[in-house]
Amino acid sequence: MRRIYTKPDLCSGCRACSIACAIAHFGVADDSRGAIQILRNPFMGFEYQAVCRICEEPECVAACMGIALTRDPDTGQIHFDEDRCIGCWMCTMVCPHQAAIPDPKRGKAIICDQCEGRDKPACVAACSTGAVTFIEVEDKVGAEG
Amino acid sequence: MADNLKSHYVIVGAGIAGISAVDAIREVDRDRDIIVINGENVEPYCRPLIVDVLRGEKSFDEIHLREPDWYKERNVTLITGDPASRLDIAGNTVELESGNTVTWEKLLIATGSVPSTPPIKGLDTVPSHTLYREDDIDALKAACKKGDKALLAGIGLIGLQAMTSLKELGVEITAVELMPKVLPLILDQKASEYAKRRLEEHGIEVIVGSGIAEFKPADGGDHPYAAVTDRGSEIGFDLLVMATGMRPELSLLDGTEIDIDRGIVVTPQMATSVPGIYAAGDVTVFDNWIEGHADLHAHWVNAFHQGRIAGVNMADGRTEQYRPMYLNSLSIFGLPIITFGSSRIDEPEDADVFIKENPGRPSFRRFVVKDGKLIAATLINDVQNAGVFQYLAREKVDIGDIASSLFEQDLAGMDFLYQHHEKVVSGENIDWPESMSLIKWFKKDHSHTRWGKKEAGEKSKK
Ligand SMILES: Cc1cc2nc3c(=O)[nH]c(=O)nc-3n(C[C@H](O)[C@H](O)[C@H](O)COP(=O)(O)OP(=O)(O)OC[C@H]3O[C@@H](n4cnc5c(N)ncnc54)[C@H](O)[C@@H]3O)c2cc1C
Ligand code: SF4
Repeated sequence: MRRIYTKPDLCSGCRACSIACAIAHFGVADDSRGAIQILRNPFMGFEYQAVCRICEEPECVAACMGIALTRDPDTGQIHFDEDRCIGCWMCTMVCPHQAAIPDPKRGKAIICDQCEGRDKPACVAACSTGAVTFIEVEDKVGAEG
Repeated sequence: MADNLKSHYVIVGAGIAGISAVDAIREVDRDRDIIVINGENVEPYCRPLIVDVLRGEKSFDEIHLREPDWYKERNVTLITGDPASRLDIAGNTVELESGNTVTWEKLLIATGSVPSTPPIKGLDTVPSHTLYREDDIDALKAACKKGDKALLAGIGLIGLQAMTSLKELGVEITAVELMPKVLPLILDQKASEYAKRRLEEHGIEVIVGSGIAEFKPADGGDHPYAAVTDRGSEIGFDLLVMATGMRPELSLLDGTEIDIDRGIVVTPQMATSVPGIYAAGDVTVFDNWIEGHADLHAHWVNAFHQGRIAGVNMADGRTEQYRPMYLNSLSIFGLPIITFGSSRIDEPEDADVFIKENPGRPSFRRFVVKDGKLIAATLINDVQNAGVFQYLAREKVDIGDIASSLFEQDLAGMDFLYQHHEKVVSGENIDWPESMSLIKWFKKDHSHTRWGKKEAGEKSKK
């Protein structure tokens, strides 16, 4: 199982990750529609990448009244079934990581799917500084039930 | 000949509370029998999505809570269309309408809410509808025609859902609210002005601060029925939708010794006053984590968590913690509104209120801070970071010094959030890979990232 990790100290704030995500999912170079978002404070000198942290007890799954969001008990992966999303923003209301993003254009949420089916998530591929990485983690989540 | 069934776990009510209890039980106990008594005629469905069925965008088959195979895979017996009619607590048995009985070792009552309608004169002389269950949708769909005029009594959450859907079906709507503002249980006066304006912009006639004194058949005019308001004016209508509130569905408990205070009284483990009997979801009254008193709150997130806690405790007595608070996310013709805490109170006592608004956009943010803690918030249109504020409130983070700049989202506020995140998570349960130790994001009680712990070579706590 591989996961997206971030290193804010390497982030230059260029938003290539957000743009790559939006292109991969919606075919538009619109950074506001990426599942990874950059929060910036130029004076403090930090950029922070808000992205799904794949919580073990994800509040978004608890809140999703369309049952669009489910958690795979074996891998811990959060799945997003776009057809079932009704755009109620319950997930936005409860995600402390700001990683459930309302997309008024589709009337559906933007949720990181770790680019399932792709070799590497688009954001990771696009990041030139190594601030967004995709790392193997032991596939043990849920193993002890 | 009536059947007498026996099951270790018996769950009455197959809403989200009942179904998430099943999930939780099966995570702990894969063997013992579970019977779920679903009083409705269709497979368990996502209740809030009934309005999508009303609008004709989805069918009940498309809004299932779980796929039909799910029950069989988990060895769960689902009894559909046969509601529980009586509890025999001494005999650990529930009787169903068909006459069959089911005997339990552990019982969960998750019967949800029912619409509550005030006794208005003449209500029984006009055809009226509610919006809560599958049969309501069938009836309402059959009754409304394009061009009809509907009268909606009550502008709360359900009323809002009813009007936005009926409007899309081409029905004209007059909505009457007794309280002096729309969405009175959720919004303060100022925020409710935004909501009201939005409704009016979409062609809904909104009357607030006016009760309905009487219903009657109309004498002449364009519509067959009429309502007389307590100000004496008459409103003609073809169709009446009553959305005057919800209350816990307690009819099954009549004559039992289970403790009730508006809803079923439960412990943090969701146990009722009778051993072996649990309750979860809209049917319960629970201690509000922010306000600190017992509350009713019909809410999905609540029902989900309570169902889980009940299930876990029914299966092995292990306690899980959940800190319930008021939460609401709604949309008025596409205008998103998120609130939490007692956002309805216009002038909260001993609290500071921060408001930032832009009526043109429109956008509105209101935050209530008491003793340095965020206790309530309203976000209209700009809702993206609602989750962060919800988190600050639930964790009771001290934001006293920084409150105003936090909500202005200026630099000091951003710094605070950043530092807070670091502080909250540093050294605790999120273990990022060594090379990434700089940033540790929100982390407190929920053990978000078990995988992280594994990676750091720690044994996870059992
Ligand atoms: C139109 C609409 C929109 C909503 N929108 C939102 C929203 O945006 N956000 C939100 O948080 N919440 C929303 N809600 C509320 C939410 O649906 C409820 O809080 C939630 O469904 C509660 O779950 P529950 O399992 O406790 O109860 P319920 O969903 O009410 O389920 C209880 C079930 O038990 C059944 N039952 C009752 N008595 C018996 C009996 N004797 N025997 C067998 N079965 C019985 C009932 O028929 C029902 O199927 C909405 C509700 C409606 C109707
Ligand atoms: S917006 Fe979509 S994904 Fe988010 S809670 Fe609602 S239905 Fe689920």
